[in-house]
Amino acid sequence: MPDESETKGLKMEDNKNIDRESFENANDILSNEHLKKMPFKVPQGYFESVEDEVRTKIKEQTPDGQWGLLHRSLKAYLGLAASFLLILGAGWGTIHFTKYFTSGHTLTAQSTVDSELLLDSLENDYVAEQLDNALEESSKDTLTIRVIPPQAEEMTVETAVDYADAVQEYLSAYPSTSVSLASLELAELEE
Amino acid sequence: MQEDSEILALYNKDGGGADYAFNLIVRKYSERLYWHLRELTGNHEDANDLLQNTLIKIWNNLPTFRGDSKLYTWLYRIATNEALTWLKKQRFESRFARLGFDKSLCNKLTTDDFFNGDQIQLVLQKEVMQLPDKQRAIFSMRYFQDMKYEEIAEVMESNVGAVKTSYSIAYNKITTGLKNKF
Repeated sequence: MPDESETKGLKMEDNKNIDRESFENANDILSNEHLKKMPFKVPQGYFESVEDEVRTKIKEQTPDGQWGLLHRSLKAYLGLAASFLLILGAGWGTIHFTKYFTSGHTLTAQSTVDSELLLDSLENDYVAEQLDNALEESSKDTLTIRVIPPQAEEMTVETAVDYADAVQEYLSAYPSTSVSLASLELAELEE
Repeated sequence: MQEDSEILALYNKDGGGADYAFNLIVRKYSERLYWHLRELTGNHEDANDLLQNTLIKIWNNLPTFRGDSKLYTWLYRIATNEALTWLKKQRFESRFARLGFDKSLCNKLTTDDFFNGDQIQLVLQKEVMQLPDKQRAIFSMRYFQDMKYEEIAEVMESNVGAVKTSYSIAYNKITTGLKNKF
């Protein structure tokens, strides 16, 4: 199979399922039903084996091999309780932060999900690069990270909060346990 | 195949209903969830691992399912979150690798023994692999799984407008990418 650099200039003659004329004349290439087919296969008998495999794993996760309803209910509710403890600040892995503009306002993160989707399409690589640099250069345990996002001066309060949430989400995946985030500033761009 | 409401009624029944109901969920949905995860990971091994984790999470969390959403979208939400978490971790762990994570996903596609498509399908899959993760999830659910925007919005815990926007951006990106390759 050719690698990505060799796929430019591919000839339609190599493709038996869509003729050149249909491809070139189509206003909407993706409307071709052939492209909507899933081009993957699975090992023989795979789907038939899924049920047994998952049952085995579920049995392994309970101490005595039993998977009674009470045990699962406790586990589910304890999981929820643990999440709340983490948010409230218990344990070494917690990130505790305040977010504020340079004017001194303190905001509580209230992420709106649709903004998360938009942020996903924007420049999270930029966030990652900035944070990687800041965390690598610092020898302190507690950092104040100053992030100047692109178009910071045009940000609304709501967008800024969502941006800060994206930063928090990135940090929560960071493997270091010695760094805790003291504060996160969303500063206006300096002249 | 039983309706979701019947499965949930069985689950809430006393005397072993839970096990049987879970079996029905696995039989009814595991294949669809698998293909969704396959689209997000690009290879069988990772998709299988994520499917197993998803089904175990479903089993563990069924006691807390309150029926606020449809069972179907709840299952997809668990699977999608499982995949997005995995992707985030993989992306983070490979950030110093010579090849970017997206490129390594594309390479996995190229060398996957279970890829069964033709040249244009491979190019399409590579274009899809380069979308941001949540955008890819939305595109996969709409384009390959033919889910309604309202259902996708429930899965992504978002609103229909944002889902439509995200899908539209992905659709245009992929269309341009395909046109540039041929």
